[in-house]
Amino acid sequence: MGNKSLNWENKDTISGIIMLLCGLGYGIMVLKIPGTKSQLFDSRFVPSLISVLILIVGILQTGRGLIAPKEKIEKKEFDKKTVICTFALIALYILFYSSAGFIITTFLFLFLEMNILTPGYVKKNQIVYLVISLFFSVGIYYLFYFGFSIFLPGGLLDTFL
Amino acid sequence: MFELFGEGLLTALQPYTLILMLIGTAVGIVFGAVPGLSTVMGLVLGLPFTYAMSPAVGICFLISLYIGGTSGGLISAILLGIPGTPSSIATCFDGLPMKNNGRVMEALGMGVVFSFIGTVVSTLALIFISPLLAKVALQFGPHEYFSIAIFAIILITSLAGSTLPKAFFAALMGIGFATVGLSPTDAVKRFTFGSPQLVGGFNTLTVLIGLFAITEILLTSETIKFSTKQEKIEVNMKNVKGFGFTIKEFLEQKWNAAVAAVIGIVIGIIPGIGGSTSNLIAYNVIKSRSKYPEKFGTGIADGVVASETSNNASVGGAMIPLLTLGIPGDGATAVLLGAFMVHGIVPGPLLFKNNASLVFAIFAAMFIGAFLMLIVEFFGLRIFAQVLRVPKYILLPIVIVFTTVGAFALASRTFDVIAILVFGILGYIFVKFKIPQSPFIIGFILGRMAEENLRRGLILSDNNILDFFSKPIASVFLIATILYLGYMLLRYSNKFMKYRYHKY
Repeated sequence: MGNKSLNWENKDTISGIIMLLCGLGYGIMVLKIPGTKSQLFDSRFVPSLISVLILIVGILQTGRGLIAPKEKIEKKEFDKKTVICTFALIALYILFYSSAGFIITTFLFLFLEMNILTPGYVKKNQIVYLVISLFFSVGIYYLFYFGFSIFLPGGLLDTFL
Repeated sequence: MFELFGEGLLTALQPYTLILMLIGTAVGIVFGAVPGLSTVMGLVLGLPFTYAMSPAVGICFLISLYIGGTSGGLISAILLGIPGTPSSIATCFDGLPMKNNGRVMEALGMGVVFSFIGTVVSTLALIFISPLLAKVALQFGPHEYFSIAIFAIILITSLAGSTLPKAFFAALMGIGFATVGLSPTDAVKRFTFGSPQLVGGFNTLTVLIGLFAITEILLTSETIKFSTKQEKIEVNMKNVKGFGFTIKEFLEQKWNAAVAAVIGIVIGIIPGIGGSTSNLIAYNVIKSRSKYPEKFGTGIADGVVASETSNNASVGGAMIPLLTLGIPGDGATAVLLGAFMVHGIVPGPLLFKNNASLVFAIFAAMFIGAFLMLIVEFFGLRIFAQVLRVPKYILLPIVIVFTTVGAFALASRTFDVIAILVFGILGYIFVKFKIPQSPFIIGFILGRMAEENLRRGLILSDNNILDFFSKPIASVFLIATILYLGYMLLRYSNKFMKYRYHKY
């Protein structure tokens, strides 16, 4: 064996550690499940088995990553800002879905997200975005209301709808 | 028997029924094609419309919706890389690359035609096998279901095309997420953290919407601003001869189609798993048996054929336990079961005896539905393709909105909408670390079934686990699982040794 130092930066190592954390987390939560003391095969059996197996898999994966030789990985073009903005916008959209209502959140989400995702070379036409956002947020709401009897959250607009 | 078939055919061929089936097919395709709207949802929404129809006509309408919906998923799978329904997950693997390689019409044409073939072949199987299978399936109990579920999980995990630890991790996480909620047989609350909504567990659809739609938009956002070319897709049908591929290309796929059809039918027959499972298994099986497995995922017709033949073959397959035993073969047939009940009909062995003309109307409807799907889907492709001409930065946010509606419409609660975000993040992390998604999905779908039947079987066997081996069918699958697992672990440790020592 020539390479004595462990490779902690390898993606395999990191994923292995994540797996170990998942296994631990899941395992700790399993302890909260009430078990039947007399029975082996109770509600705790499968979750316990799963957590043990995840830990084993995590150990294997971490080990695999640690002994891998260190290589320089080329970093691909990765627009962190757009990903984070998109993620944040989706999260906000979903979290306010019920309270602010479907129409408001959908309108805002569509308008903002289209702006965020537009590639650099395209000239943003805010009017088009506005019209599309309005059309779909109101249109989908009423399509499902009248067409399918599915009542999307009215939220803040409840008194008007 | 032939007069009953004639009677059934006449019912199905009435103009009124045909028009309804045409509408049903189109609606089904739309529900199938739009990610976030599923076949099951389309069926649930169509069900109330059938109250005003006679049982036979109503069921024919729903069947055409079912077939259209199962097939429709291929449209978005190929054009967007997002499966419209769980039945078209594997269609994305080669369908999207084919589109990106400029072979979109070939992919779509193959998908539609082989969906048609899958439906027709499985309907033939339905007609000839259902009486025979009723007898065998009557003997299946929890021991058998458990063994089959475990075998299927191990199989998919091994064929995931990734290193074993990662694939197993995905499967185990899938099973883990499926344990959230009430435990089977004794309804103990697990991982619910005092939340009443977690008691119901996660809905499979939220898993799929999250893993595909949300993950997709996050992945797209990584590079969309750097794109310099117009991302518009041109679907040019002008120079397309026939269905977009040559007869030679069609015949090249005959064995893939045959194998996929058989897989689809068999998986459809097994209650609880259907098109959503068969497309993945057929894909992986055909890939492993192929002379060029490394090409799968790069955009070859074989991948699309495998997935689409099998998922539509599962339609006929899933109808078999429904009609012969009254047990739904998958989620969609569960809705059909509801339709039967609403109209006062009890499916099962007696159905063939007392209401044979209805059974034959159903057989006829499946053939007619298949033809309608073939024509509507293919010649309507231009209409569906128009959706693709909308730029991605406009299309994706709208798709996300539809998927939240789809999630919300399941049970009118925002919990499901939050769930798609959770699985979206999970899916994104999986992709970043190259952890495969299909074992996760299978683990989630089958994990519950496996545990439920393990515990039921143990109750029946007085907690004696060895009893599982006393049942012939169960022991066959269990032994096969153990042997296969052993073989896989051996292969992995061999590969691992080579990997480790080769580097030095």
